[in-house]
Amino acid sequence: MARSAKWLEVFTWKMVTAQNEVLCLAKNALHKPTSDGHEETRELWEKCHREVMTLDEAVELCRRCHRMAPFCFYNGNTFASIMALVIKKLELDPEQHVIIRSLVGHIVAGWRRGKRRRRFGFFVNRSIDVSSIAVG
Amino acid sequence: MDNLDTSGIDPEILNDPVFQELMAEGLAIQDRFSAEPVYAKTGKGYLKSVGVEEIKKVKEEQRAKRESESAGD
Repeated sequence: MARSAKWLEVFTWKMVTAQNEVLCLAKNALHKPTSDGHEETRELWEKCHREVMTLDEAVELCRRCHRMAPFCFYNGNTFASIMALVIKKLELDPEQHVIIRSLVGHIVAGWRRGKRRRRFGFFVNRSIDVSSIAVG
Repeated sequence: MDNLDTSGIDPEILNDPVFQELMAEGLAIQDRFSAEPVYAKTGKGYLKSVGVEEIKKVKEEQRAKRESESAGD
């Protein structure tokens, strides 16, 4: 069972930025980088997103980037949708898929903290056979 | 998606199948998120609950599938 992979490799910063632009367009919101969070977040993302990591590490990177708020609006949705797509590509049974996607969404959104987040990592690493990775 | 003016986005990204899936995922869950960066400001994020409807629906579909499979045996 391979629990680590380049989960976020295909999601370049250009793609992250384009995703935020689309989400802002859909709601007539301003798509603009923030003066205090954008550069730091871009550097973190570009440093990490191509690395081999566990699924919970990928979730954590998305959560951190959401909190760093690189864009003026819709940061949560930008990073939560990346993890939603990663989860979608796993071969999970439908029930498991809904549960894990929901957990991941809550973590990236900043709802679950501390112990709950650590429990998620344990749960995911135990319950997902990620030998069939299809992102990209 | 069709009525969005995406002319400002790099066509190479826009035509990337991964990005197209990503857009669909993002737009599907957009109404659950706050536009403002509340997580950065307060340390607590926002996510609108969808309740138990989705998991209930999946369970019902799974049960129906199992029943039709066992009926076919």
